[in-house]
Amino acid sequence: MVVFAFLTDMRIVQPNSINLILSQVYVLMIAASGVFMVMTIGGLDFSQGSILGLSSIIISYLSFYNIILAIIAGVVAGAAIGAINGFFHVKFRIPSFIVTICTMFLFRGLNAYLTTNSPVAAHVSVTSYNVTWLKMLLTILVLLILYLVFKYTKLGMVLKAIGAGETAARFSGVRTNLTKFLVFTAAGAITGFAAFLNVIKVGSITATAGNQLETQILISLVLGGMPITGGAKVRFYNIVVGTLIFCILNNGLVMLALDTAVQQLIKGIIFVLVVALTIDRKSIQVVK
Amino acid sequence: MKRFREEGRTVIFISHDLSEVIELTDTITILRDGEYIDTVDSDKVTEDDLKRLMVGRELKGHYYRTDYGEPISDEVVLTVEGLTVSGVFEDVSFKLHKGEILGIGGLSDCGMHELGKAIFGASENRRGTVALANGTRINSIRDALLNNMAYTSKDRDNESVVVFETIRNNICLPSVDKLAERGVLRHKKLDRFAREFAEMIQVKMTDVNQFVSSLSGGNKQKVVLARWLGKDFDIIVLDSPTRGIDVKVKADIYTLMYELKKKGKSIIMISEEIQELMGMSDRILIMKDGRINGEILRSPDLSEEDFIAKMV
Repeated sequence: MVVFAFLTDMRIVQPNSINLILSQVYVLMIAASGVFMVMTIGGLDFSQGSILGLSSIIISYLSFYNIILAIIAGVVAGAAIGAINGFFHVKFRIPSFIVTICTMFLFRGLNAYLTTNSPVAAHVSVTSYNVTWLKMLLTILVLLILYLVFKYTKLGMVLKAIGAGETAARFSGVRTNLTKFLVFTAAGAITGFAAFLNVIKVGSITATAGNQLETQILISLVLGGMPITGGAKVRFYNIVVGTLIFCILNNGLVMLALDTAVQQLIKGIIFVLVVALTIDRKSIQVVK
Repeated sequence: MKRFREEGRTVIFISHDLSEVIELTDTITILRDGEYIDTVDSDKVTEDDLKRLMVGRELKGHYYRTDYGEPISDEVVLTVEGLTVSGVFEDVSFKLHKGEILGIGGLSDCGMHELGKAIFGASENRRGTVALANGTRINSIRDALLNNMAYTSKDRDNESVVVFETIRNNICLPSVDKLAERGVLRHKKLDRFAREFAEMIQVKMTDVNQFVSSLSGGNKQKVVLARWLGKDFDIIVLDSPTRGIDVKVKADIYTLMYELKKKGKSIIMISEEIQELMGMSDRILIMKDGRINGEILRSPDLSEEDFIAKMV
């Protein structure tokens, strides 16, 4: 932040820029909180972008009928894709990153098909929900619920135990398969909810909606200090700190008027550096 | 190591295999609980001397229980019938009694380690039945835990404890349902619970938030036992409970086993060490090539030959 403050002649700390950064962070932060759970158990989820895309399309369609129904349908669609991820990961013991890359391509394809002729526009009224307090409230609500669950319920302890040592967790009576399935489903559902905020922001959904969301989430969480192998050293603040740093970084790079390719390159380098510097080599296992 | 010595190099050999230490070294330095105790010449000490120095008190030849001839209770708490895991062991049947320490011995690939898992409901493709006295079947780990069974694995780091977790969470994990109040976990309560059982069994640690990965083998095993003591159990399967553990913790574990027996807990101890089976069990089943190949009752007159004859 400080670096960018200087590099951009303080432009980044102007209220306008801060508003811009905040407006970008909501969707990312909510979606990241679902993936946070997946990564805590030592998994990865690359299907988030396509979930956001499909749920956004569904919400847009249904926004002509009833907005509450639309939100619910978006969440259900996200949960369904998450459940597919969880089912194949658990039942056929396929590593989660492979399963989720498959669903990523599958649903990205579906999204492209649904938006072939024209972008799917939502009802005009949805943009009236595009107000800062509502988006902030919903984001805080999601984070707060997750924080309480993670810190004060059995689930939080169980998730970390699975990430730190799945077999030992199973021998301690944790229903590992069920938990894993539910975590992927929940991550999908949460991103399905984030899709609502996406729809009210952009108004119409194109084929590229949600592209690269998965990598943005991954980079954010790692920047926030999350161990890529999950486990006991995971902290809740990883989500908040990580997504904020990522958005600041993103905006800073844009303000420096760098070429998009160069921006990607810089983000990639930072990601590799952070992983290399923070990875706990003692506990590294195959990512599930 | 001998070649290194002949070449004029120096070897520092760290082990708790006492006979090996005496045979291979010139001088032996003994540490206990992180403190220097003594340095002795290898050709002037016996294994018992070393044990005494390591434990800090006299161990009269051994540290096993010394009672003989006590009858085993008639009350059956667990019945195993026709238990089979294809390719590992076949048609294993036995009964476990209240307050009994049942030893299961054999060579390491005789199937007894998998048998321990199967009894706990942790094996896939298992056939046959494991049933409690009231008829409840144990078919999964969940069943086992709900019915007060516990299990410690030979593979301590992968199956018994979550090594990259704190002592606290390891001790609380099996008891988490009991600790939650209307679904809410209170951290102070968890701390207190973990500390109570870690201290009961004297885990050597800085505090309960220390990671298990930083503990010695013996202390890891103590964490394993602490968590099950916290969970409370009627039946426990101990697979190689003293594997890779120094004599002091070994003695503690044997004492604990005897106390548990006195409290009416039933123990199945699976072990590759004949001395341990002989010293601690009321009854020993010997396995060979996946089948039970004989039963030996507790007696002061047993010799290792009796065991070896049935194992090989």
